[in-house]
Amino acid sequence: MFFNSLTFAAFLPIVFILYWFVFKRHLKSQNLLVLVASYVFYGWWDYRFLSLIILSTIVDYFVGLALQKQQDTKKRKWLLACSLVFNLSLLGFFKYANFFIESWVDAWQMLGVEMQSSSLQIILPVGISFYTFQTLSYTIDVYRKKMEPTSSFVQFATYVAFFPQLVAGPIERASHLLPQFKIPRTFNFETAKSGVHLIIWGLFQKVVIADSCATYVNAIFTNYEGMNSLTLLLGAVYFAFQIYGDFAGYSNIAIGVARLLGFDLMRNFNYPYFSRDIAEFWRRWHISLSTWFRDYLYIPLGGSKGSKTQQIRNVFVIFIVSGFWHGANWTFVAWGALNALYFLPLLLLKQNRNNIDIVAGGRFFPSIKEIFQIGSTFVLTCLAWVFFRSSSITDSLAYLERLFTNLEFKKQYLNIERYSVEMLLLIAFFLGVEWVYRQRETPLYGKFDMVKIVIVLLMIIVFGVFSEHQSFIYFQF
Amino acid sequence: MRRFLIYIISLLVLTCVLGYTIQYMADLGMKRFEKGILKEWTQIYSGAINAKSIILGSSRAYTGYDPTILTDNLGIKTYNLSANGGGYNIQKMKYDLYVDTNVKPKVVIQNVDLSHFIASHKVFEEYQYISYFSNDIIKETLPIIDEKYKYYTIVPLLKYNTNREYLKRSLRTLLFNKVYNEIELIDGFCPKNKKFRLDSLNIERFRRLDTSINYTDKFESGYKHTTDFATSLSDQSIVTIFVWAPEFIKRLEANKNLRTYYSKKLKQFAQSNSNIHFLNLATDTISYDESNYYDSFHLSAKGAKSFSKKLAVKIDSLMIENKTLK
Repeated sequence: MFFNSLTFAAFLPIVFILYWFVFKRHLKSQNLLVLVASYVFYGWWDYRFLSLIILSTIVDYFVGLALQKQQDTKKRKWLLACSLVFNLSLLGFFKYANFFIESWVDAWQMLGVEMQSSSLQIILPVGISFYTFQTLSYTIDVYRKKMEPTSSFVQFATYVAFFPQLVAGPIERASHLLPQFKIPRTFNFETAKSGVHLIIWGLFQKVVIADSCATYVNAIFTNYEGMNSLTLLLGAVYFAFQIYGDFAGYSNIAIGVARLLGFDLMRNFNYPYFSRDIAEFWRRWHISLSTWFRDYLYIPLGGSKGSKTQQIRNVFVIFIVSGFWHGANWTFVAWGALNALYFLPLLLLKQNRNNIDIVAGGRFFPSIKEIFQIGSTFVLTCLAWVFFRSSSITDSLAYLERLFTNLEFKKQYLNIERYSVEMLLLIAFFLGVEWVYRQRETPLYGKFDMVKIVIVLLMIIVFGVFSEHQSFIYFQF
Repeated sequence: MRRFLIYIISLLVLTCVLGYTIQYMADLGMKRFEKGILKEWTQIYSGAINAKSIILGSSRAYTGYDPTILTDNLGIKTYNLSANGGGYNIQKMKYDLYVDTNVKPKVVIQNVDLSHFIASHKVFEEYQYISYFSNDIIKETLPIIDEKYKYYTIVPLLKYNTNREYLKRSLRTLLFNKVYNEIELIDGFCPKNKKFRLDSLNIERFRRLDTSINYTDKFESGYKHTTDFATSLSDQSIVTIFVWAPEFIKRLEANKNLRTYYSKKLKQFAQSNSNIHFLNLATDTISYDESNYYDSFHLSAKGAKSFSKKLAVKIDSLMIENKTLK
């Protein structure tokens, strides 16, 4: 079930009404309703893969309980290993099996040994990377004794499968979300209202910005060999907004839906394209994943402590693993490595925490220096996005080579309605709104918010892409 | 909770009020277009046509039948009501809309060809219908072709989502009396002064259909709709003249089997009803000169003129034979 579908438009009010009107007084029933709704939500896509979520839930539920009872360090390690091996095997098989088979064959072929390549017919279950990381955070935190395991299976299963963020995050920490299933939720007008704002803004990001950009991005990246520098430049910029609109849009809808049910989910994006350097960008982009890797990989590896070699190793490990998490393709690894290269000088020169305040704080307009910093960070990000979007490393390099060597700046055949003016105006409007609200989590909130929301709603109707249903990009990760 | 529900309802009401207001203004602007197909629609809708003879068909009739020549030669007012890119289902809708506000015609000149027997699965140039979405005939017909039209009547401004250019134009027309340079039609006729370009892919498509085993499958339902429509017109004492307009020679070669099959069927059908006639001009001499076409299927302005003159003569003879027509 997609957030931008009519099915979901019917599903959400039904869940909302049952949740607040029918099961209002009974916490257990409310949790059970959320669990059933979550399974329906997921099963709508493919009910067979529900078994994987349920299996993962059962394993981690029992591992959590066993970890609590077990005091022997060795046995506790074994229990943690069980959870890690099970979840990562699930992820490895469904997401990476074909990649490893093909890479293995390619490696032998490079050495001159001919091998028959036969990929397995594996369907990637939607959101597997998200819920496996979410359950892993639970067992690791219980292992580290940072939290008590839950004895309620329903609560734990609902935490794993919570439908607003099940398939594309934010990747919640058990310590943050799980306790919320234990206490009765009370309806709060301001929270619910901010939820509605986030849902509408998220829809705008998805169906107006991301899906409109997608039309051009697909055309440009598929036929990049015949495109000139201007079009390739626009292709990279449009993709930057497509992926941001798509993913931040999903996250905002997820957070908004959760708020309607009285839950608080962590923030996943904090206006990343206003970042003044790459370190700041990574503090603002896909925050739930970045902090997950920071807490469960980077810091255990030593983080920014230790020798320079260790620091460099740690940065590369975290960025490459993060890239690989996105997909089984060398392009994602290259994207991660490139970001590591961007980040490394800042870390080594101890400049990585230079920009932790809000850009142009207390002012409406940024300074020249800030404009330059934001612009250069955006350019670096766009270059990296080319690797992320291309289907192979060869394509990414050829795209970039053509971008910098063609040097023609005439309008090309994509000169249709949205190409020249409308699309760029929409992006400008989008950035304008984000700039105005850069100090707040919920855009459009505040004075005259009803009017602002109505205008955005009408813009969704008039400018949204509804003709070809576009799935969310992060569903594939 | 009550406050929240009031908030949601207010949000929806305000969106609807603002959306429908803008939509109403845009619809009004659309109806004030002074040129092109939208102007024709305003005339049809206001019942200002009232022609005795009307031409129905797809783009072939839209660009190939000059009603002024027929009016002059036959002495009865003729109007070209064809639908560019419209199959028999769209043509029927346009006819129903016409008779809803205009006097019923005496004669319907129905262009036929193989494409006519294929229903439209997409509404071509949908902008021309959007300001009339409250009309029951449009409301009933278009959702059968595409489900999205169901929502056009419910969600404000949604119908302008794929016609944004016309949203801008209509509001400018309404507020600033701006006149846009739309293609001018002559009593619904749209002559094309384009150079000939052979549409090989289309020809090939029909060649494949022509030689396939069940080669009539694609056309049977359309043929039945066409003949049923003519019968229903006959029941209302309206004469139908089926006309197979000339096709370029390469097209004729490509669809020989199918064309022969359906022209024979139409001939037999016409013989069974005194109110129905069939004029087969598919292989007329016009077919052999590429300057009469802009592709293998559509007549150029020059071809349309020659054809319309010939057609007028043929219809005139029919009128003399069947006095009921005059």
